Amino acid sequence: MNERILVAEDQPHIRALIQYKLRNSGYQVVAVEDGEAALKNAIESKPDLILLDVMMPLMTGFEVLAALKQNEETRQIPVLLVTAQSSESEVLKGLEMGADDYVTKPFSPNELAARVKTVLMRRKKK
Amino acid sequence: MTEVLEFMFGSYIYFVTAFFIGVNATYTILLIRSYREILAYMRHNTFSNYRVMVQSELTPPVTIIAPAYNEEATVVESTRSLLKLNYGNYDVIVVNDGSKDETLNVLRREFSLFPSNQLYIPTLETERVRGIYKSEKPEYRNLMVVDKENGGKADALNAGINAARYEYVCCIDADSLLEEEALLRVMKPFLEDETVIAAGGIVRIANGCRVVNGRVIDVALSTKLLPIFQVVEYFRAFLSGRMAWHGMNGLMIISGAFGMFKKSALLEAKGYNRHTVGEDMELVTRLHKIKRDRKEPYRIVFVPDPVCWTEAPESARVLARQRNRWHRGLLETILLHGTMLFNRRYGVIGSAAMPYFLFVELLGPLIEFAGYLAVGGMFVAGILDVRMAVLFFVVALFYGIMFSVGAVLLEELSFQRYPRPRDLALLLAFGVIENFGYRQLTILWRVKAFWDYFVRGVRSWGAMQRKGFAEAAAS
Amino acid sequence: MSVELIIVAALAVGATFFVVVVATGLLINKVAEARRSKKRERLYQFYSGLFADLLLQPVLEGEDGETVRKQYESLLTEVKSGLAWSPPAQKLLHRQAIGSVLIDFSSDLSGESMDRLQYFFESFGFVQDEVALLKSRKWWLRAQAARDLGLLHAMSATERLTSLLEDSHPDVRNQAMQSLVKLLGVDSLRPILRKARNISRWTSLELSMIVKNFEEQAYPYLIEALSYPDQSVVLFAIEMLSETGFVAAVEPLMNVAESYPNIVVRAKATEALGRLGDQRAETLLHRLLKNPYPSLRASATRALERIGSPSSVPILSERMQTGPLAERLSAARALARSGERGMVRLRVAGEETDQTMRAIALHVLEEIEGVGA
Repeated sequence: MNERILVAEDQPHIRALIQYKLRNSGYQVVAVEDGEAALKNAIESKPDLILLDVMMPLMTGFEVLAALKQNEETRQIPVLLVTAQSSESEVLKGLEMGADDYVTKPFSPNELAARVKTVLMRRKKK
Repeated sequence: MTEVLEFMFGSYIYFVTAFFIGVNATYTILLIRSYREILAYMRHNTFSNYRVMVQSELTPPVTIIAPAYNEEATVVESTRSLLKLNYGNYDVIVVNDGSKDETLNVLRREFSLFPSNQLYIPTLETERVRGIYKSEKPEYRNLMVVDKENGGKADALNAGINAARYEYVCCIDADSLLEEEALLRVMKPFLEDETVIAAGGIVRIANGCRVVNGRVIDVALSTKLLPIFQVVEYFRAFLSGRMAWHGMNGLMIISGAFGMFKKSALLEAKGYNRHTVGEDMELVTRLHKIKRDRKEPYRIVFVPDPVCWTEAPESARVLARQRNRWHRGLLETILLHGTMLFNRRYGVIGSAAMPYFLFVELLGPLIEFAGYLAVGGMFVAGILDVRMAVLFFVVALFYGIMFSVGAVLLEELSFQRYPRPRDLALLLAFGVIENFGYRQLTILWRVKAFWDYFVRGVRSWGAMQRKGFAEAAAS
Repeated sequence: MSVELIIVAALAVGATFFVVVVATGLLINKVAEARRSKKRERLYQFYSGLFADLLLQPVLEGEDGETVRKQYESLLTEVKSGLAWSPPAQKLLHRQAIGSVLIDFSSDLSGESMDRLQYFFESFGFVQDEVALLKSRKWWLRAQAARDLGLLHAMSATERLTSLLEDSHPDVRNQAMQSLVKLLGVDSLRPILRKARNISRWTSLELSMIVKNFEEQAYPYLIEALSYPDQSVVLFAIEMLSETGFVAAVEPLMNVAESYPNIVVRAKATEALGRLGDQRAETLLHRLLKNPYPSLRASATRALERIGSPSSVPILSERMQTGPLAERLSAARALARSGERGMVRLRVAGEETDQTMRAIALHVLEEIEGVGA
């Protein structure tokens, strides 16, 4: 069974790249372009992992994350944050709020895929 | 008898004509200067990566002060959106100015506030502070509520300045909606030039826009008439007025809806003046005066893109009250600082900005009003050269239209915040229509301000009703 | 009368002309722009997808760069032949879309993908175009080209960019500076910081976002910069060093805090010492607490708050007793961080009869312990 991944990213080029990369790595990918859609989709379809960009219109990644963690049904879904440039406090804030891991821009696609894989593996072991 | 009348009216008409030419020449100069300033700003600004910088923690911390008076309907929502801004490090102080409604209790309930032992140092004199509140919840740790006895907006702002921890203070209206990067954008001039002591952002009208979670996500025009007229007016005031004055370091107003100040400059000036309804303009004028008296280098700037959205009055009654208050504020500021007029010591303020505000902004409506009366009088006396009068009226109209269209042009050359061609067409159309009725109405309101001030001795604020953004968006 | 009439008529005609021309021009432009931007967006989307795919196509590692480069080039064949056949106007639009997609990718990607982007950019001839723009007479075009070349890691433009460090327009200098740091890495800091003059705080913030990525490699250059002649560079170095927690920076910073000719710089250095949290600075800080300059005293108190060492308790409790209220408050704050003895001292002060003293102590205790202290 292929894991389903929800990708929320507002910039079309990065969204396309992440989508292709994860598809090539054998996952089912759904991509949305803003925070609200991400939250809606997460609640409806309960993906196995959510990849959230921090800077997004309508709802920021943090707001989506907070909402996900408050909802009984989506609390368990692992979340991977994508943050712009190395900003330590953002990363810490994200991890404190319950994100499982993070990727900072600029990132390499291979690194991203590797992180997705480890997060999913960790979940399986539990 | 007829000859005397003819002479009187006739010379008044000549006076009005001369005045009219002067005013339009001034507007033309301002429009051209604004155009150059905006172009320079736009070019300079493309090289700032706000998306990255907004996450920097090295940006200087800011205290935001939002005074609230009887705002129980909106205060929670607006505070919440203030707490969500994107900026390195900032505090929010909401000052409850002795509201008669539930403003304080709503806040206490919503943000789990407790009475705090925070030391309050009354550097600026204000009405009595009844208490300071902070939140029990760690996520609201940068929120403070100051509860004080009623003393007006300036008084509330002064109390907020007393409680502010940081060197930069941002004063806003309780119902202002700031865009996410607005704080950073208005902070930038301070970081580029150490001598900047105050910066104002542009104010735009939110009626008709879609607001979600305290953010404006779709910019559109209202379906009601009055707000659209005001959009054109705001373009004229901000884009083709303040931008030009900014270029000459002669900016005399920073809108009370959104302005950033160095706290040290505010304390030097002893804060806002509590005895005027035009406290925002009075403060900036006074800052100019102080700095020029001391011959210290300084700059007061206007930044055209940190956007503050505000709800404009939709009923003529409320709008009339607002304009009446603005005009009284302008009058009071000029009466208070009349000594700066034509005083060479005050540079561009004394020689250009002050005269502009006195003759064009303050007295303009009065002169225009008297012009209409004179024409009427001449018509009754049967000495009106109808052909001439009509022609004059036509020219005046066309110039009114020209400057409105010019302001829309500036918007389109720069920020283009209204994406739909339909909205642009509407704005242009309203730039024409406003000269038939709306313009005369605003003149009437402003003339009434003189009456209220000098004859009735009115000195207070007129109340403003707010709908609240959530409701406004839903309706 | 007729002269007046002619003047009036001329004025009216002038205004009408302006209004009609501007209004129709704006409307036509808006509609056309809406269409163009839709088209641009479509193209952007299309090339986003296309290049996302090209960036992910597997490439065989070769022994030399040449084999890899050949594979990169072969990825582009299709796009290039498509471009070659389109009419000039279309071609321009397509090239613009490709350019902005590549630039956007380059600011978000690293690793092998970045190498590939760099190659693509060179191969499409964008680097040449940008280098030509560096000589433009319009400063904003120069600045933009300088920025883009940095984003694209266009090594071939290094020399040109270096000469732009002395450009007449500050924005061009800033962009050239940032691009060079991105291109040449940490070693470029020495020549750049030596040449830099009057960098604004805003620019130094922008620069700090780049330099931060070098981590400890940048420290020696920053320490060296503490002795450069330009004050803004010294301030930048102080600010960067204070974020690092680098112990070797303590001594040089102490020198600056003690004897730099400018008070603002000294205060910054003092505060940086606090951030570094090194106890070696303590005696100096104690001395600065008695300096006649209020800003230095304030910085020293804040620094002691960060260091939080018990040995500061006596002098801090002394400072807490007298002086301007703001200074007493920050002394109390520092005391609260100076170990158990400091807290005890503060609790005692919280029960004193002197009202101000009690208020100060309660204020700080609440900050530390939260509700109901």
